[in-house]
Amino acid sequence: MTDAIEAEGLTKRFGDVVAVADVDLSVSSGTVYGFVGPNGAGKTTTLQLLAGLLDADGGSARIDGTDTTQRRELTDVLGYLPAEAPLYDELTGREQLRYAAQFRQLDDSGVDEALERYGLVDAADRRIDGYSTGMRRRLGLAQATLHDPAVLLLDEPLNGLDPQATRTVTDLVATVSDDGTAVLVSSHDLATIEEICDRVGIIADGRLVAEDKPDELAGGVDDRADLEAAVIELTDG
Amino acid sequence: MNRTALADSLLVARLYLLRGWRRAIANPRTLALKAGVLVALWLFVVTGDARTLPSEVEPERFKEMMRGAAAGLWLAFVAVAALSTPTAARSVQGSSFLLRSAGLRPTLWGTMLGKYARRVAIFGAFVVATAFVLAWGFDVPTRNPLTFVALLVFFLTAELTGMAVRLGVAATGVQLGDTGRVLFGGVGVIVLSVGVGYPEESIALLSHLPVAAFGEAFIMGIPEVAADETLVVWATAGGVVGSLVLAVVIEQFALRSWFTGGSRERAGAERTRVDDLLGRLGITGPTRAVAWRLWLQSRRRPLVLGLLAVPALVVGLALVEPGGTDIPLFPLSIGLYAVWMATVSVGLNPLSSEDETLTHLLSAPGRDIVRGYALTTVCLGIPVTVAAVSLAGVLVGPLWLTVPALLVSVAVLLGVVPGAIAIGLIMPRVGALEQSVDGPITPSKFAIGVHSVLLGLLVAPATLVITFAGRVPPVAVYAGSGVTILAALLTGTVALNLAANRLDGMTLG
Repeated sequence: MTDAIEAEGLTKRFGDVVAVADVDLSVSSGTVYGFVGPNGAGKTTTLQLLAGLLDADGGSARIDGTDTTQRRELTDVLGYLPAEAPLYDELTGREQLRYAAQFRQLDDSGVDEALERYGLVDAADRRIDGYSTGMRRRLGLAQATLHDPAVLLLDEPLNGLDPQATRTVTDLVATVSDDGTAVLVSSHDLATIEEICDRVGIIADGRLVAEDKPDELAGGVDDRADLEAAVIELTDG
Repeated sequence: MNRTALADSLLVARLYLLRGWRRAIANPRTLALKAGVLVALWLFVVTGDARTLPSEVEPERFKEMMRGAAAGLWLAFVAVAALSTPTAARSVQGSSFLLRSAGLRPTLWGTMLGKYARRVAIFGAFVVATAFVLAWGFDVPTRNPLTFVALLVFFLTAELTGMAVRLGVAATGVQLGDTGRVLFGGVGVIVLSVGVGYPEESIALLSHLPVAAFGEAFIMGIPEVAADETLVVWATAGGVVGSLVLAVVIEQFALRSWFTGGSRERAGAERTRVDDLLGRLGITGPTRAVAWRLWLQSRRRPLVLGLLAVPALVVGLALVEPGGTDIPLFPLSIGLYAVWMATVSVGLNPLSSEDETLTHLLSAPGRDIVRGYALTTVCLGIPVTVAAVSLAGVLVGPLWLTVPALLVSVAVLLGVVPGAIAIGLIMPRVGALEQSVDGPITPSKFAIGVHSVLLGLLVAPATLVITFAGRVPPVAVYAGSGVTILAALLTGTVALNLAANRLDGMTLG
C-alpha cells in the first residue's frame, strides 16, 4: 500500500541558498506527522513543495499517489493551511466557506456542517476582519478540510493561539486524522507536537536530521529528556 | 478552457469585484475623492475646448489626434497591467487557497478578469462618455455597436499584452536588480516627459502604431472625418485572435515563473558608513537609530532613489526644449518640485515603515524619533534640491535668480520636512493592501494634498515677487523670499513640536 505522503530526495534552492536538501518523507493515512526545527530550517518550503506551490529543483513527491507537479489533480486530494490563513477580510465566515465550496461543487449543507464542526456558527455572518486569531485559524482549517482531503498540510497552525484555542485546534486535527486523513503539521510547540503526533521529523539547514516516534526521539538523546531537548541537541550548530 | 475552469474563473473574478466594492464603500472619503477626480476630468473635457475640438481642427488632424490618443491610452494601460501582474504565485492574495482549490487557470484568469472588468467599468465609462461628448460636437453621437465591441477588445488586448510582457520577463529569470530598476524607471520617466513635453509630435508618432486603428472606432459616423470602418473591423478581429494567442503564451509564462520561488538575498552588513558618520557628528540614541534605519530603508528602495532624481530629469528635458524655458520662476519651481518629491518619498508617511517595530519605537521620546526622521529626509532632500536648482539656474536660467531660489528652496525644505512628518502622523496610511508591496506604503492622498497646500502657502510670497522679477526692484525679490524663509523656519519649529507631541500621545490599538 502506498503512503499518503511520499517524497524522495526533495531539494529546493533559491539562488545560492539551499532551502531543502534531499529530504525523504513518508506519512501513512490516518496518522499525524510532526515537522519541527529552527526558524529558517526549511519547514515551510518543504510544505510548499508538497503542496505544489513551488517547483522542486530535485527529487519528487506524491500526495495520495498524485505527483505534486500535477497541480490540478492535487486540488482534489490535498488540504493546505499556511501560517497566515488565506482568508478574505471583506467576507463573512460563511461567505468565505461558500466561496471555497463552489470550487468543490459542494452545496450549502457542507458549509453549514463545517461551521458547526469548527465551532463557528455564531460568528458565521460576521466579517472575517473582526475574527480573533483562533477563529481565523479554525476557519482556515474548515476551508482546508471542506472537501475531506486525503492529506492535510498545516504550517504553524498553533502560532499565537491561547491554550484553549490550541486545544480546540489539536482536537480538530485528531478528529480529521481519525477520519483517515494523513496530517503533516509543522510547529514550534513541541509539547503539543509530542502529544498529538504519531511520528516526528526534525529538520535543520534543509536536511531531515532525525525521524521517529516522539518518545523514541526524546529517549535517543537522554532517557529523561523530552522532545524539546532532542530538537535542541540535534539542530544545534 | 473547460467549463469548470471557466466557471471557477468567473467565481474568482466575481469575488475580486465584490471585495473591491466592499473595500471602496468602507472608505467613502477615498471613494469620493477618486470619483471626484474622474468627474472633474470629464467635466473639464466636456466644458473645455475638447467639446468644440472636432469642429475647430482639420478633419485629418482630428483623425490623427484620435488615433494617437487611442494608441497612447493603450500603451498606458499596457504599463498599468504589466505593473499589476503578479510574477510569483505568492503575490496573488489568497494564492495558497486559490491554487489548491481552483488551480492555476482560474486563479490567473479570474484575477485578470476581475481587474479587466474594474478597468472597463471605470475607464471604459469615462472613455465612452468622453467620446460621446466629442461626437456630440458634430451632433452625431456614435451609436455604432462596433464602437463598443472595439472598446472591449481595446482594453482586453492592453491587459493581456501587459501581462505577457511582465510574465515573459519573469519567465526568463532575469532580475533587474535595484540599479536596473532605477535606470528602467528613469528611462520610462524620460520617455513619458518627452511625450508630455512634445504633445503634437508624440500624437503624430503614436498615430502610426497598429493599435491606433482602435481610435477610428470613436470617430465613426462623424461627417467629414472619414473614419475607416473596415480598419476597425480588422483591428477588432485581429485583437480577438491576438488575445487568444496571448492567453496561451501567458499561461506558459505563468507556469514557468509562478512556482520558482525566485532567489533569496543573503543578509547584508548590519552597519553602514552613514551610521558611523552620525556617531562622529555626535548624534546618538533613538535619533541616530531612526535616522540610520530610515536611510538604510530609503537606500534599498529603488523607487525612492528614482523619484528623487526626477527633478534633475525635468531640468534635462527643459534643456532640449527648442524654444528654451526663459521664465523667472523656473529655478524656484524645480527646487520646490525637488522639495515636494523628497518629502513625499521619504518623510510623509513615517508610520508605514514601522510595521511591527512601532511598539519599540513608542518607547523612545517623540522628539528624538521625529528628529531622526527629519534628519534623514533633510539629508536626502538638500543635495537633491541644491543640485536641481543649480542645474536649472545655471543651465536654463535666469542665473541671477538662482541664489534666491536656492535659499528659498532649502528653507522651505527645512520647514516642510517636520510639517510632512506631522501631517503623516495625523493622517497616516497604514491600512491593509491588496497584495504584498515592495517597499513602503505610499502616503495617504489626503496627506499629500494637505502637504502640497502647506508647501504652496509657504512659497506664495517668494513666488509672487519672483514672478514679477525685473519689474520690481531686486530688494523686493529678496524681501519676499525672506518672508518665505522666515515662515518656513517658523513652520518647521512648530511642526517639530506638533509631530513629537503626536508621537508621544500615540497608543496602539
